[in-house]
This record gives sequence, C-alpha cells and structure tokens, in this order.
Amino acid sequence: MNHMTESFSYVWLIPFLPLLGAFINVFVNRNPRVSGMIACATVAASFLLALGVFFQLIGLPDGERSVDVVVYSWITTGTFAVDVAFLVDPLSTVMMLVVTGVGLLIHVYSIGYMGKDACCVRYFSYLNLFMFAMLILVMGNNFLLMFVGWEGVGLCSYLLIGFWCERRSAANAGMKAFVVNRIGDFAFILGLLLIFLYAGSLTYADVFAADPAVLAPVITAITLLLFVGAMGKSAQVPLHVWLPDAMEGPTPVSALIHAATMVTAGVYMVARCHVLFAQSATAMTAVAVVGAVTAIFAAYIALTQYDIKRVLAYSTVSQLGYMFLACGVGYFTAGIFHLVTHAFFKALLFMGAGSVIHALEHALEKGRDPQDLRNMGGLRDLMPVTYKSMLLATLAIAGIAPFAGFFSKDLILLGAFVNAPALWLVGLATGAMTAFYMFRLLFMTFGGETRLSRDETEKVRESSRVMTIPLVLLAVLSTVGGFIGIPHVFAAGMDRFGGFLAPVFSGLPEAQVPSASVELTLMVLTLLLAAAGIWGAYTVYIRGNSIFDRLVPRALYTLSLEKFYVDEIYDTLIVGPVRKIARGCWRILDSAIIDGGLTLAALTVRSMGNAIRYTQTGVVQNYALIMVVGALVVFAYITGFLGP
Amino acid sequence: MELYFFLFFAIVAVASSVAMILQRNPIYCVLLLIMVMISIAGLYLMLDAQFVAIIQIVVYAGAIMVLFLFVIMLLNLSREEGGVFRIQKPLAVLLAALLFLPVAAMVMSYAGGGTTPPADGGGAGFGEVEQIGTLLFTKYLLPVEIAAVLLLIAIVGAVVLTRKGTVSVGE
Amino acid sequence: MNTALPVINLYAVMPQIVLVSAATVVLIVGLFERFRKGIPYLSLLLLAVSGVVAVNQLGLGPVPFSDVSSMMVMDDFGLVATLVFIAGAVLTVLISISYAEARSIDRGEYYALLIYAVSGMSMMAASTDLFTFFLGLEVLSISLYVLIGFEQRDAGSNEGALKYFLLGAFASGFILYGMALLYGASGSTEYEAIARTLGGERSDAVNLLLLGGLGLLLVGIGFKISMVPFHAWTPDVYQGAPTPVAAFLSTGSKAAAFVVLIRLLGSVFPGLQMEWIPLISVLAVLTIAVGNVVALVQTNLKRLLAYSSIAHAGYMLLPLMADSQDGSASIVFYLIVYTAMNLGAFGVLAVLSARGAPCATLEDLAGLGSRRPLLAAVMAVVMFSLAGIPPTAGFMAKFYLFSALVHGGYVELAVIGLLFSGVSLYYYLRVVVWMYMRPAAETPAEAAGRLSYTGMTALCLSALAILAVGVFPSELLQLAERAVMTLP
Repeated sequence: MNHMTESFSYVWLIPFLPLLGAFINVFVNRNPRVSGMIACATVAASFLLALGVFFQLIGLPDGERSVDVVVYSWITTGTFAVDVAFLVDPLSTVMMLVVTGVGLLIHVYSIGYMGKDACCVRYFSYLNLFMFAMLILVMGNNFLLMFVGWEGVGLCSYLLIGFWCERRSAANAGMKAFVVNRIGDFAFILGLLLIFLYAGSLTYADVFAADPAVLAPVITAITLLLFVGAMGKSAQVPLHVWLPDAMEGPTPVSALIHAATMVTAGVYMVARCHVLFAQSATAMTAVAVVGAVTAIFAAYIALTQYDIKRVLAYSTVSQLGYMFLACGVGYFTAGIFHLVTHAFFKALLFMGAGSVIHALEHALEKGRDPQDLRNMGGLRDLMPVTYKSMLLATLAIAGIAPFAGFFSKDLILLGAFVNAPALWLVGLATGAMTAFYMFRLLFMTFGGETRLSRDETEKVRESSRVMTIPLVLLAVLSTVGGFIGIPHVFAAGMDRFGGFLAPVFSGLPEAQVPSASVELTLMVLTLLLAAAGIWGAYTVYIRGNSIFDRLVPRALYTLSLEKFYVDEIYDTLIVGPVRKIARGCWRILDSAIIDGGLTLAALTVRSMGNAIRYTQTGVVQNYALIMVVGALVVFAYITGFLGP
Repeated sequence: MELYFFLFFAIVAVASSVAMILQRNPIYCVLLLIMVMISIAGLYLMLDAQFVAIIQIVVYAGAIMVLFLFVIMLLNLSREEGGVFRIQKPLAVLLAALLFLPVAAMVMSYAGGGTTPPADGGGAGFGEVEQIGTLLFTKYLLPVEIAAVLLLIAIVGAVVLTRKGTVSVGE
Repeated sequence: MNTALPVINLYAVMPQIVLVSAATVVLIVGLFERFRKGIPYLSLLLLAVSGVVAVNQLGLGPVPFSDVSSMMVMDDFGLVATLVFIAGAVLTVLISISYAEARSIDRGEYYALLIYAVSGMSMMAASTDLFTFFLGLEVLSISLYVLIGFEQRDAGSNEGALKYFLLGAFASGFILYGMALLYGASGSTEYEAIARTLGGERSDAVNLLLLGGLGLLLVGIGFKISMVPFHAWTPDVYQGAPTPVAAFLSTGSKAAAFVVLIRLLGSVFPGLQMEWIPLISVLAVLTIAVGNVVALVQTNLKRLLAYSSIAHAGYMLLPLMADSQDGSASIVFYLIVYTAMNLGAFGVLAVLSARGAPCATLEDLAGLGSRRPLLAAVMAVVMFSLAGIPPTAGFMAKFYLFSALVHGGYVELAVIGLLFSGVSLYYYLRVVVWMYMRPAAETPAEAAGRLSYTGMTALCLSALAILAVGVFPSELLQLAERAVMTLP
C-alpha cells in the first residue's frame, strides 16, 4: 500500500496548479492577454495529470484501486484528527477528469468570450480558484476537506455570478445563491457533526467502515441532512431558486459552474456516501422522490421560458433531478454516468448559447435583449458551427440514440422502472418534456424566419475559432460519449464505465435487471416519447400551429411561465417577515438611540431642545435599567426563585 | 447598648443615602454623602476595625468629599433638571427593591444559619494598624502592588482627560 | 512583633511586571516631545520583549506567587492568554500609528495606557483570587475609559467614554457584591478555597450565598463580554471610541473576561453546574440571536461590527456548557482567531479613516475593491472568516467549537448556533458586496494618497494569519489545548 501512495504522491498538484494560476493572476500578472493563457495552462496541466492518474489506476487490479494520499496532517487534537489527504479511486478520478477536461475547454472558450472584458484578469483568477475548490471537493478523502471545497466552490460561484458589478441584479443574484446555498450548508455541516459524534472520525474510510449498528440511531438523520446539503448545492426543489438567477454571471461561468461541475457536487456527494445512504431506506426514498419531482417540476417551467439561459438553467435543474433519481433507486453508477454525459452536452449548450448571445450583443439594437428567444430565429445559416454543435447537444439531452444522453438516461429510467415504477412514469414524462423544450429552444434560435431586422442580421457573425473549437470538441463528446457505457442488452461486457466504477459501488446489493425484451421495450418507449416531444416543438415553432394554445388551459401556462411563483412565496413567507423582525428589533434596541442624535455636546449645550435631552439623558440610565432587569432575572433564576 | 449604636448609625446611613439620591442640589448631595461615610465609619468602629474607620473618615469624608465640594463649587453647578424620563425613576426604584429582596433574604438566612464567620484575622489585635500592616506586607502583598499601579493609571487618566491640547516637557 | 516575611516568587508574575514596567517606560519617554515619533515603535519593542518573556515561561508549570497565599499563578493558561493579549496590542499599536497621528492623539499616554490595559488583562488571566481578579479588571477598565475618551475634541469619543465609565462602574458594583457574598460563604477570596467550600458539605444558606455570588459575578462579567441583556452599551461605545481603541476593546477586554470566565466556571464552580448551565445556555442563545438579527439591518460599520462581536461572544459562551478540556480549548482557540479577525475588520476602518472623513457606513466602502484592492482583499478575507467560510481560520474556530459542543452532548445548541451563523453570512457578505459590486461614489469619503505602511502591515499580517491558521491549524490548536491542560 505504501509504495502505491508514493506512486500517487503527485496528485496534490492537480488542485494546486489552478490555485497557483489564480495566485499569479492576482499578484503577479497585470496583462489581460496573458491571464487567459496562464489560467488555461494550469488547468491543462491538471488535466494531463488527471489523465495520468486514470491510466495508472486502470493498470492496478480492481481491489487496489483506492489509494489515500496524505499531504500533511491538518488537525490533530486529543479527540480529533483530520489530514489534508486525497482519495484516488475510480469515482474521484472520473470527477477529476470531468472537472479538468470540461473545465479546460471552458477556460479556452473564455479567452474568446471574456478576453476583451476590462476585468478579465480578475475573471480568470476566480475561475482558477473555482477549479481548485472543485478539485478539493472531489478529491478529498474526508468530509471536512470536502466541506472546504464545498464552501469554496460556493464562494467562487458567488463571486462569478456577481462579476458584472454594474448590474445590480447580478449582485443580488450572487447574494441569493450564497444565502440559499447556506441553508444547504447548514444541514451539511450538521450532518458532519453527527457523523463525527457517532463514527468518531470524518475520514471516508473510517466512516464507511463503521459498524452500521453504531450509526443506526442517527443514520436517517445524517443522510437526510447530507442530502439537504446536496439539494442546496445541486438546486433541487425547493432550494432550486438560486440557479436560474445565477445566470446573471458570464455565460462560460454558467457552463462550467452552473451546469457541468459545481452543481453536480451534490450528486457526487450522495454517490460518495452511498454506503451511508444505502443504510437508510427513508433517505433513499427521499433522494429518489425529490429527484423525480425536481426533474418534472423544472422541465415544466422550462417549457415556457423565453430567456435562452433560463431555459438551460431549468433544464439543468431537471437533469440534476434525474441524477438524484438514479442515486435514490440505488443506481449510483447511472447517476454518475449521467453526470458525465450531462457535463458534455450541457456545457456545450451553454457555450453555444453564449456564442449566440455574444454575436447578438454586437448585432442587436440597443434595448433589445440578446438573451430573449423572441429576438432570435433563423440563425442557422449565420452561425453554422454553433448551430450544428448545438443540434448534436440537443439530440443528446433529448435522449435520442445513439447520442450520449440516451445511454445514461436510459440506465436511470431502467433503474426507476425496476425499483419505483411511479417515479419511472415521472421520468418518462420528463423525457418527453425535455425533448419538447430543448427543440423549442433550438427552433426558436436557429430555425424558422429570423426576427432580426436586416441591419441586425448583417452584423451577426459566427464566433471566433477559440470559441468554436471547444464547441466542436464537446459536440464530438456529446455524440460518442455514451459509448463508454453501452448497456448489457446490446453488447455484453461493453459497459466500460460501469466496470470502471464497479469497485467503488461493490458493497451495494446486486441490481435487479429485467429481461432483455422488457429493457428493449422501455428503450423504444422512451425514444417514442422523445420523438413526440420533438414533433410537438416542430409543429408549434416551425409550422406555427397554435394547437397548444387551444388545448392547454391558460392557468397551466401561466403557472409555468411564472415558475410556480416560488420566489414570490419565499418573499412573502420568509424574507419579508425576517426583515420585519430584524427591523423591529433594531428599532427597539437601536434606532431610537441613534436617531435621537446623541452627542454629549447636546447635553452641555443648554439651549438644546428638550427632545434631544430627553433621549440623551435617558440613554445611559435606560441601559442601566436593562442591566438591572437582566440581573434580576439572573438572580431570580440562579437562586431558585424561578428555576430549579 | 451596642444594638442602639448600631441602629443609630445604620439609620443615619440609610436615611442619608436615600436623601442624597432624592436631593437635587449637588452641594447638599455631597454633604449627605459625608454623613453616609461618617456613619459607616461608626459601623466599622463597632466591628473593632478602628484603623479602617479612621481611614474612612480621613480619606473619604475628608479628602475626597472636600475635593468634590470644591469641584462642584468651582463649576458652579446648579440644580439638576428633573423629569427626563417619566417612568425611569419609579421603575428604577421598583427594580432596585426587587433586587434587594433576594439579597436581603439570602444574607438573613445565612445569619440565621449560625455558620461561623470567616476567620481571616480576628482574635487579639484585630483591626489594629499592626495587624493590617502585617497582612498588607504578607498575604496581600500583590494586591497592594497592583493597587499602586491602578492609582498611577488613574492619575495618568485624569491628567489626560483634563489636559487641553498637547504640552510636553523637553520643548 | 516579628512577622515572617512570605517567600515570594517574582518569577511567577514576571510577564505582568514586564508589562507594567514597559507601560511606565513608555509613559516617561512619552513626556519628551523629541521622541514623539518613536513612541509607538518603542511600545512595539517593549511588547515584543514581554511576549518573549511569556513565551520563555511556557511549560514551566503552575508556579504560585507566594507561599502565604496564591493570588496569582503562572501557568500555561494565563501565559497563552497573555500572549494573545500582547499580540492584540501589537496589532492595535500598528493600526493606531497613522490614525493617532492624524488626530493628534499620538501621545505617550495613549500607548502607555494601552500597555497598562494589557497588563490588567494579564493579571486577570493569571489570577487565582477574587482580589487580584478585581484589581486586574479595574486596571483594564480604567485604562479603557481613558482610551475611549482620548479624542477629547470628538463628542462621540467623550460620550462613549462616559457611557462605558458609568455602566462599567455599575457592572463593577455587581462584581464586588458578588465577591462579598462568595467571601461570606467561604471565608476566603481564593478560588481554591471557594471551590473547596463548594466541594464539601454545605448548608442551604451557604449554598444560596454561593449561588447569589456567582449570579452577580456573571452579571458583571456578562457586561464585559457584552452578553445579552448586558450588551446595550456595546454599539454606542464602539461607535464613539477611536477606531483602534474600539478594535482593542472588542478583542482584548472581551478575551480577558472570557479567560476569567473559563477559569471560574471550569475550576471554581463546577459544583453548581446544574444551576448555571441552563442559565448560560439561555443567555448564550439570546446573545447569538440578538447580535445576529440586529446586525442584519445595520448600515453603520462600527455598529455592525459591534453587533457581530456580540454574536461572537454568544458562540464562545456555548462550549462552557460542554465542560471539557476540548470545550475550553475551543474557546481559547476561538479567542485567538477572533482577535485576529476583529482587529483586522476594525483595522481596515481605522486605516481608511486615518485622514479625512471617517469611513463610517457601508456606502463609504462602495468601490473599495477597485480603489484599494489590497485593503479590500483584507476586508474580504476578514469578513469571510467572521462568517466562518473555509479555508479561513474563522471556519476552523467555529468547527472546533461546535464539534466540542456536539461532543459534550449539546446538539440542539449547536444547531441553533449554526443556524444563526448561517444568518450572519448575510451581513458579512453585504460588506463584500458593497466593496466589490457597487460602483464607487463620485468623491470617496476617505482621503486620497498612500495608506499607512504600518497599518497595512498589521492588516496583511492578520489576513495572512487568518488564512494560514485555516490551512495549517494544528500548531495553534495544540497551543490552545496545552493552555487548558494546566487548569485544574
């Protein structure tokens, strides 16, 4: 074991290099043109190292594919020891590859997208810092390190959402993201404390090896708390409200953080803790149900949104729901598989959308929103590369065979069918809706007649190479990425992805597999529904048929357009009252005093009005009075007049 | 006999304190405070603490209070203007009374309990200069030193707060 | 009459002696105008010397002051606390230099009183007797009254000093009364003797006296640490005091009172746990709630930090309940981190408002991120740390504190604490939002030009320390643990 740890001793470089990049950009580099290069170079190096880890790992026998690499001992106290240590196993390696791989492409794309922004040095240092935190999150070998990464990515996400500080809405969105996430983090750290209390350690190896009987009294509490943490980070209903608003940030950020990597941290965490989750049936059910509900809920909202990034944001929420559904029904491999394919096609979709927005920003007249689908249309010939790559991604997310999304989504639905048929129906319906809204987006952007004026049309240009090359690469991955996990029905032993992850999830009970004919029937059904969704979008948005207007009640449409009024409900029920309470407290305790314009000068100047003296002389005496009341309570309690 | 003396000093002390709080004229306040100090000195005497009693009169009633009087007369302070906060005063009286009750009950129950009083000193020579001196130089050596520092700080503080502008020697 | 002189051990009070002498030297040198510029540096040097003395004595075990009565003891707990106070004073001096110069309060007395205050804190930390504790407290308090009112020309400063003085004297009254009751019950002012009385057979009457004494002590100490409902002075006084003094007040004097509280509750009053644990838990929760909730709506920065410091006092009260070495160690660790954080936060304000209009409200911070990147970065680090976001020291401190609490079996208190610490994020982040995400005003309030080097050094040091302790907390944790090991 020891020599293996040594042979992996370089893994600390993987998170450290992006951190170094961030440092150079913050403290050394002042040249905006170089900043992008530095950022890309460090992430590229991390990606290569991650590839190295991957190949080294597959060279090892199955049983030895889990290595703890201790960097230094972090906290050592009498009761408590945690190391800064990384866990190298198939699951973390998959995450490393996704994070650094997709991250690298988005960094490159950012050079094109953000290169002319005045603050691009700051942008790239944030982005690198994010990579560092995300890698810490997925590589740590204990919960505390994971939490550090967890908060770190939240922080970077917040900084990047609010990046364009001249937009007030951006700052507010950043704030909202952080506060909502904080609810999840609160639950998460509570879960950690409980784990520490019962298992006596925070290191994965110790916790997962702990006797289930020891954890039994609190296992449901622990897993549910962890899951609430995951819900915050991965934007599950009802904590999903921050993600659509997070679209205020630059589009590459939406692609990297709010689609491909950070928001999947919750899924990663649940998969990492599958040993714990498997011990609590309640928690598993909760995960599955929340996942399914989120999937259909967000898909339903996405049906009617007009902001191109918001459609994608709700789509992300919905797809994350799928991943949780998979974990909840015990198909952790499927959840991670979908995480990987989703990273490919959703990053691509966002970057494609970014490419469109980038083009329209320069083309559209002032006052026309470059993100509004109603201001687009007919861009197919003007931006061919963007169009083609987005088409592939849309096919992938709609679950059309043989694109990447098909395989992973199919595996999830299979798991749901076996374990929770009701949720399977939900997933199926979501699939059809996904196909509909994604093609709606595609048709409204690229298809049909253009809604741009002639002047505007002339100014639309395809994006530069530095932006389109990452698009093409991701398009390739979205197309063929699914072949790493070919289902058993088609070719035995070709599920390389499942095979690679198998050692991680080996402790779980063998998944039931329905007969081949059932499986094939399910696939066909899924495909048919997706096709129906595409047909529906085609009918409405290309052919201009208003059939839905007549069929669908207005109320249902409004509910979707207004996102079920969730924000408004929160404002009335939570934000408003809290603000009122705080102001009330403040008024009683504080404002009477400062508003009184208290200065000692007022006391000495005799001619001052009575009103000021009234508050002034009252103050210190009032404070003393409050103290006496307090003393009285303390005294009465402690001497047993009130208490025991 | 002892009881009568005690009652006399105690009643004078309490009455003067109450009167001092109620009095609006600062000069009368100081004079009443001197009364309080003197009657407390009387109580000390009855406890065989002659030295403390003398010090009480010399330092508090003599030096400090006279200084107070000078300051008040120098500043020519007139009557304090009352009626600043209508419920403050009754409330304060009420709360103080409430706070007094449990403490009084506590002390009374303790006195009734008949526990032996703490034996720090006591016996022959208790309260005399010699014994106090001995204690100050043995057991309470450190507090005496700290008190010296405390006084130094108080002097520095007084100078700082009253000095106008910055004047230094050496210029 | 011949009296045997006691065998005294000056070595045991060496740090206090050095500190008092240092202050006196500064006081005397400060009288000479030609040394005026050098006074702060002399203070730094002498503080450093005291620090070295204290470090040298670490680990030499409990040594009482004399054979007659202990009064003060030299143990790791007191020494570590003294070191924390000295570090706080060093940072305070550094952030004071330009501020004091610009307001012409850079007199020898200012720095001398600062060091006297540290000596008072150190006495409180080392005390094993109510007598010396009270004298230490007064040494500290009187120095602080004067320091708060040092800006004589500023009405706010005068007002703050008067308020703190009146209420502080009031609180001292409670403490004295409490001590009288404790003396009455046990016949001694020594901690050990009181603990003995508590440990042995005792009548109901004695028990009642002890309880009453403890209650009154808690009121007085509660005032010093701004525990609700004895907190009302805090925002007013912080707002009025010269900013570096407010920094010192919010860290040092609070820390000193906490150190005493640990000693008292941990080694004198464990016998009354049944009574004080519920009381302190209720008051701690109230403190956390009031501090955090009221801070939400503050726009004045010093008031915001005042309420934040109230909330932090609440967190630090919690582990007292756990009654374990871990619990006490976590408070010590938290105090160390808190000192760095709060001095950093107030320090930024002090450096910004050294010249020109004081930086008072959130609006004054608008656009600081582009105007003064380094200063804004320090402030951001400090705010994140106060909010408890990893990888800052604030996170480590909170985590250690709450894990000690959970370990002690107080899960529900940990839940409440964590909940409110989640709330606190909102107002800390608001500061960051104003600095980075709001455009600057046309004419910034603070004066243009270079910021003070010394102030920036102090700020960068504390920011670096916050980050370093977040990443490598082990050494400091062990120090905190070692400190509480010597407690009985």
